Amino acid sequence: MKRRRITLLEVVDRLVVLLVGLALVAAGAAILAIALELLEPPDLSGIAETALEQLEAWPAAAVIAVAAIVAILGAALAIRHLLPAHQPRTVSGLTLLSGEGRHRTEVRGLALSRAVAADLRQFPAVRDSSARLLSANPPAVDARVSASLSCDLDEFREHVAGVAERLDHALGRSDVLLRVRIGFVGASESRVE
Amino acid sequence: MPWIGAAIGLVLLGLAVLAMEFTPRRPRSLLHHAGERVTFTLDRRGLERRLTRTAELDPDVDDAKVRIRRRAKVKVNKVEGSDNRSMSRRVRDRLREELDQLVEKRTPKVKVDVNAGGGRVR
Repeated sequence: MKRRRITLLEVVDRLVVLLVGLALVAAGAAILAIALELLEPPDLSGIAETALEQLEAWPAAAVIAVAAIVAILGAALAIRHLLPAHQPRTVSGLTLLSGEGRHRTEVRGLALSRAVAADLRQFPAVRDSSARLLSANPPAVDARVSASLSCDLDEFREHVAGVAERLDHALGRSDVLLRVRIGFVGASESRVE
Repeated sequence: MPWIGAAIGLVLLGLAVLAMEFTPRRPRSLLHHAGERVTFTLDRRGLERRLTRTAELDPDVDDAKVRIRRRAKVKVNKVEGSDNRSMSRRVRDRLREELDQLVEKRTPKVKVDVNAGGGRVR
């Protein structure tokens, strides 16, 4: 079986979360050990001419440590949600290949996305659809559809093949990539998730 | 005393973070069909809804709930008076067949749990 490639960002992401988990456990265990007098509180008197010099008791140091850990935790979560895997970027438009010389034709990504979404909605079982242009060269479109629970996927794939063909024709190329994410919804739902 | 509580809280939070990191995550979507230029994926929640509907098509099933993680786990409330084993086997076979048609790679295995129900009577 072919294994999925793991990117460096994913490794960093996992590592940061792991370190945060370990730091929380270590900090908690250390405070617990000090509180139960199993461990001596840290001697901060040696750290001269710093802000820590002002601290007279270990609880204040613990508060700083906890604040730092919470900050790291927040940063880790922020990194996780800012990763490209979570928020694929869209492009604003693409240039048609047929343009020669000083003239060229640009297609807005939003217009292209709307056209693809509308074309997908032509299939009777599709309740709602949306699309985004992810790259300009080669053009890659990411589409999401909400389909009824009884949607025939063989027929839907045929319809999407037609959508891709029309997109190729409209853009004058034959390398358009299309990714369709299908969500089945019940009779009362129509939202694209 | 408050320090002990805070410390225990920190340890528990850390363990929860580690547990979440090592627990297999629910897939957001499953591959339905990968063509040369067109790829289809199925939203996990939508697939759960569709499989739930398939399970509920069985006349001996009162209601069902499907959850997909690494396996597709089906909780079924049976109609009173129906046979557990044959119903469980039927539901499992139907869902396996549907999953084989819908999911191209890493098709989840099906596990059926039958509850007594208490609603409809056969």
